[in-house]
Amino acid sequence: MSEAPHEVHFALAEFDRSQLPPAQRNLQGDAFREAVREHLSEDFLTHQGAAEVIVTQDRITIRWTDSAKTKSLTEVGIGFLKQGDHDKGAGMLRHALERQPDDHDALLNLGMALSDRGELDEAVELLRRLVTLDPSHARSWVALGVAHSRGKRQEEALQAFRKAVALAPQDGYARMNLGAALSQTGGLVEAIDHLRKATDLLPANPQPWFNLAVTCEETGDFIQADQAYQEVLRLDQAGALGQRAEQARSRIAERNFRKSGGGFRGDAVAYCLGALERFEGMPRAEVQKITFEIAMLGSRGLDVNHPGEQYTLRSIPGKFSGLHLLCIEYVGFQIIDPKVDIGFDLSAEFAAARRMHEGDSKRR
Amino acid sequence: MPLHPAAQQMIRKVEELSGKPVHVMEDPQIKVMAVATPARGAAPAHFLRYRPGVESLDYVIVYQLGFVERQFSLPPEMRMEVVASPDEQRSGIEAMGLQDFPQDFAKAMVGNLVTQLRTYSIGCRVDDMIRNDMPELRTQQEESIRTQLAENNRALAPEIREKFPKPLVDANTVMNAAFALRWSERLQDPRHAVAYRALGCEAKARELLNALADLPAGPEHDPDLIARWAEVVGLREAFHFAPHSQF
Repeated sequence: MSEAPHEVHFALAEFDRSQLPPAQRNLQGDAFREAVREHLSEDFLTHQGAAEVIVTQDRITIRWTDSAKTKSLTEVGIGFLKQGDHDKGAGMLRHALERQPDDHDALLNLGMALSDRGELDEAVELLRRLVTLDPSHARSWVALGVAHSRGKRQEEALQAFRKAVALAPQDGYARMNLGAALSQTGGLVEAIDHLRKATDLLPANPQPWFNLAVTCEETGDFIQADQAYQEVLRLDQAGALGQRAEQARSRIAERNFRKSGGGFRGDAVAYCLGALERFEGMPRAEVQKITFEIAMLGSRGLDVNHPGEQYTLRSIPGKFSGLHLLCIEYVGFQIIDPKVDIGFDLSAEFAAARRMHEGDSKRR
Repeated sequence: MPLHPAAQQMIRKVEELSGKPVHVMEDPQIKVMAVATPARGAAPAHFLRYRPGVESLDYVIVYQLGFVERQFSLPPEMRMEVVASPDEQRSGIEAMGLQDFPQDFAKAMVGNLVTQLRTYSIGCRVDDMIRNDMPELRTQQEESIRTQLAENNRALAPEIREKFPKPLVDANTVMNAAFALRWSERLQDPRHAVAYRALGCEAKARELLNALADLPAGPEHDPDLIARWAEVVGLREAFHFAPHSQF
C-alpha cells in the first residue's frame, strides 16, 4: 500500500450543493464553508488513516494518508503541534476526537495546545473530560491545573495539582506546578517543600529552580533564594529565566548591600569617585570597553557583599571587589548612556561622588 | 530484470493470436507510462515501449497488451478501430467548446479525449481480466491504479480546469470519476471518489459504469461500449468505427 499522502484540490465554487443536507444548501460564507468541511470530513471518519479537509475562500483541499503503515490522526496532529503549527495540529486533533471522542492522547494534547493559546474554556472542558475518563493519569490533572491557573481559578488549579501529586509523587512537573500554585496563593512554606522536591526530580530544568528562588525570596530567605537563582543562571544563562534570575540576584545583592551599610554607602561613594577620575578625559570608546567588560563579567552576578578583591579585568590592571567593579560599571554607563539600568541603584552614591569630583576639578 | 511469468505469458498469447512477435523496449522519450503499437501492414512486430523506471512494469505491459489481445482475439472482419473524419473532428471541437482555440490544439485535445474514452472504457475490461485471471499481478495493478488516481486528482485543481472549456473539462472529469468510483469500490476505499462526488459527477459516472454492466464483456462488444460512453460524455458525433486497418 502506498505510504505517500493523497492530496486533491478543487474549486469551492464547483462544489455540488446538493451533496449537503437540504437545510444547509443555501448557506453562505463561513457557514457554507464549515458545512462543506463537515460534510467532506465525514467521508473520512470511517477510515483509520489521517485525513484533513481544508476549505478556504475559494478552494477545497483534501489530504489523506492510507491507514496500515501511516500514523493515526492523533499522531499527525501532535506532530503538527510539535512543529509549531497550531492550526493544523488542533484541526487534526479535533478531527481525531470527532472520530473517537475518548481518544486520551487527542484530548490531552488538544487541551494543552488550547491552554497554551489562551483558549481556556475549551481547554478546561477537554481536560475535564479526560480526567473523568481516566482519573488516574497524573499528567492530565497537571494539564487541567495549568489551564485553571491560567484562567485565574487558583482554587481549582490547586485541587487539580494536589490530585496529580497524590497520584504521582515522583512527577516533577506535578510538584513544580503545585508549588507554584501554592506560592501564588500564599502557602509559601508548603510551596517550598514541593518546589525543593521538584528541583530534585527535575534538576536540569531551570523553571522549578526559579519558582523555588522566587518563593524563598518572598519568605525572606535571601540566601536560599540567591542560591536557587544561581542555579537558574547556570541552567539558562541566555534565556528569559536567566535574565530574570540575574535581575533578582542584583535586587538581593542591593538589598543586602543597603542593609549591611545602613543605607548610604561611603565605600561606594569612594569607588564612584575613583571611577569618575579614571574616566575623566578618557575616550568614550575606552570607557565603553571597560564598562562592557564589567557588564559581561557581572552577567552571572557580582558579589557586592564580599569585600575581598576577587575579580580581574583585561582592560584595567589590578584586582577588584565586586562592589568596586559595580561602581565603575555604574559610572561608566552614566557616561555612555545614563538610561541604562544596571539593576543596582547607586544613584545617591554617584551623585555624592560627582559633587566631590566637580569640587576637586574646580580646585584644580 | 526478467519479466514476471504472467507478463511473458501475455506476450506469447499476443504473438500467437497475431502471428507477429512483440518487442518490449525502454523509451525515455514517451510521456505516458507505456504505449503499445500494434503491428500493421508490413510491420514486423508489435512494439511495446515503456518509460524507464516505470513502476509495476509487468502490470503495465500486460495492460497495454490486453488491448492488442482483445483486438486480435476477434476475427479480422470484426476488428474495429476509432477514426474521425474532418466533419467529426469539427463536431468534437464544437461539442467540447474548443471553437475559439487554435485548430491544431483543438484537434489534439479532442483526439486525446477520444483516446481516453477508448482506453478508459476498454481498459476496464482489461483490468477486470488482470484482476480475475492474474492474481499474481494484483499488487502491481493496485499500485499502478493508485498512481493513476493520484494523477487524475491533480487534474481537478482549479488552475488547471479554468484553462479549458467546461464541456471538455466535464467530459474528462466524468470519465475520471467513473474510474475513481470503480476503483474506490474495488480497493474498498471510498475516499478516492470523494472529490468527484463533491463535484457532482457521480450520476454521470454511474451511467458509464452501468454501460459496463449492461454490455457483455467480450471484445466484440467493445465498439458498443465505447459508443455508450461517448453518448454520456458528449463525444458521439466526434468519431466513427472503421474496420481495423492492416496498413
